[in-house]
Amino acid sequence: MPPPLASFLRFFRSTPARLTVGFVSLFLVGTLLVFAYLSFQIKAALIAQIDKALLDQQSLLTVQYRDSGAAGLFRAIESELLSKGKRERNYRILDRNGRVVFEAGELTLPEVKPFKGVQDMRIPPVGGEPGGHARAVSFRLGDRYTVYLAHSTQSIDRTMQGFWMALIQALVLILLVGLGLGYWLGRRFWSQIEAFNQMAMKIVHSANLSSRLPVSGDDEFAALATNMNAMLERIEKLFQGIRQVSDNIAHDLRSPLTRLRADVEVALQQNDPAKYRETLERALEELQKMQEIFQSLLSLGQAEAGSLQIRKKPLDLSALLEDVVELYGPLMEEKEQTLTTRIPPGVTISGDRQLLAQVFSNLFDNAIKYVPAGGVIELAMARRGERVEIVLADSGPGIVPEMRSKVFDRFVRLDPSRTLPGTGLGLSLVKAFVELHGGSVSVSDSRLGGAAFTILLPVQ
Amino acid sequence: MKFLIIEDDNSAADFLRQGLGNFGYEADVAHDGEEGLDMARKNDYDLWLIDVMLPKRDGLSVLKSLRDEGKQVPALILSARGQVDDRVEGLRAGGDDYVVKPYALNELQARIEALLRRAKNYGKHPETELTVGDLHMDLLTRKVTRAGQEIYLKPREFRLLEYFMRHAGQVVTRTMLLENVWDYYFDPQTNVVDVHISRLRYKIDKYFPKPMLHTVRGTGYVLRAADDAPQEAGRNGE
Repeated sequence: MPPPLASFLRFFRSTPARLTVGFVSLFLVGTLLVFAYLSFQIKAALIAQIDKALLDQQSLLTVQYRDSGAAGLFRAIESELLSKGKRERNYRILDRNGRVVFEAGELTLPEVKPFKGVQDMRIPPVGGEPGGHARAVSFRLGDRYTVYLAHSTQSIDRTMQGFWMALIQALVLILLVGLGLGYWLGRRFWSQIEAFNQMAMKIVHSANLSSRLPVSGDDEFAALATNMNAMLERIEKLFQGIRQVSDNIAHDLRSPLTRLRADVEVALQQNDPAKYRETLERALEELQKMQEIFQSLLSLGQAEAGSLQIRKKPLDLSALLEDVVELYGPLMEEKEQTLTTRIPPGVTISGDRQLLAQVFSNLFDNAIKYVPAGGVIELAMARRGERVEIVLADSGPGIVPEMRSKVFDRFVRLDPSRTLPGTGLGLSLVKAFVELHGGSVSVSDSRLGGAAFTILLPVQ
Repeated sequence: MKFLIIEDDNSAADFLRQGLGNFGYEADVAHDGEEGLDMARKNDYDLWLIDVMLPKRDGLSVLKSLRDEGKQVPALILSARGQVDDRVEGLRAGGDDYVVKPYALNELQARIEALLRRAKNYGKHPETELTVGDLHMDLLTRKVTRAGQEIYLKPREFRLLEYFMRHAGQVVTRTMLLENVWDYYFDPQTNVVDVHISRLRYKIDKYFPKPMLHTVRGTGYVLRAADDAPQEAGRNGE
């Protein structure tokens, strides 16, 4: 782990941190908008309440004046102020000449002209008292008096102030908790991703593909880690495969090259034309062997890379098998191997004659190589639904189960000393060419005691 | 006999010319497609050896142009590309045979002789009978006799012998046999052709004092009339 501060700073540039900050900001803005709307509505409702109280008061005073005259009115105002308090209200009554005949309450009203309805009114600051706002009505009583009645909105402002204070406190709390939780969650995500990063860098630097990511829990990180591990495993296998193949190529081409070189060098040290000739002939043989390996590797590479052009045509598979049997029959007789065939006539598939002939030719080459004199080789073909099954079984030494999945790999030879002729590519070519035809090949025990190669080819 | 080699690799061309010289053939060398086309137009050659991948103009297009102009000189295509498809393309462009690099000089010589023979017989009436020394083959009745004695051959043995008789006196390689008698364009790992040859040899040579079918070591086989003394070909009996 890097030092805490550096790690912390790095964390702040990370995606989880940016996501956390983004989400928290978004949440703050949203909350602010909601609160702004709410406060607007609440304020409007509170003001409507005041307005209604003012209008009620107006009707009350009108009734008082009508019933008991100016004296009754003044009394009613005094008792109203006594019961509801002076601080919030102010009553001002003017006579016809605009002189103030009555003033009660502690709000300082500005000089105003009569107006209609309920209005907002600025209260100028007086002495130490700060100014403010009030809602006010003005109305006439009979034809003598004009009444101004005002109600301060200060209490509303205070309420709203409290409301905003609470909001700010809540927001600060949200911010802290959000960032804290975000940091905790993000840190967890980030440490997982950091673990992946570290692992990737470790693999890059050490070229060691055997490292694996730790898997914990069963969230998407666990899934990602599992999949990345699977990927690493596949890469490791492929890499080992490539290493194996290049080792084998090195062996299969290096050994003849070494022999060739030594042979030529020794011959050159002597001065014997007969030896020269002998050496050159051996060299030619070695070259031919290398050329075979080279050609097979090329075909294999092309088949596996899909760049081999395959010419599928309607193909009489029965005739093709009979042809290959006819080609190999005499060789088997020579080696005292008995061949039996069960090839039903007229089985037609869509395929490439040259490639499939090579497939069966390679299988026969193999069987002939391993089956001892007096042994039996059996070739049978049968329709299996939409597929044709061709089985080549023999009474040879067979293939041990643990080698069965490997015999189709390149340069795998059952004869570990590599003394029998062959490139170790024959069965790889069989597999590649059969798969080019959409078929499959497998190997198992045969009832003859040796190996049985089974090829399945689609009819179309 | 004079050949034209169209090959851009100088050392390969020199090597080929020298090799052909050892077999008694003279050759000119063109180093790119345009030059090759020009030389093939101006001079009369007995055979063209054409590399496929050439600068300026590829070998197949050179050959196609020459064929379009009505030139009937036998053409052997030399190519590094050995898939059946490439072969088909080469023959379609007007090639008479197709050899994959790297090739054995012996193989090349055998194929050249087969081509020259074919060119010599070009336009003649198709034969109904083949005769090599005291060996006789009737292609219509499919009867084979040696010194008047009938020899019974299986269908493939008949085709094998027919190919040898059509190329009597010429060295025939295993690859040529696989291609022309079996129509296989790959080389099996085992000596599967040799067994067929020894069976054929058993039938045509066993009961006669002088053998006709000889093994040419490292190259292939040759069928000669029994009276013809074998030249440099070392015998390699059964």
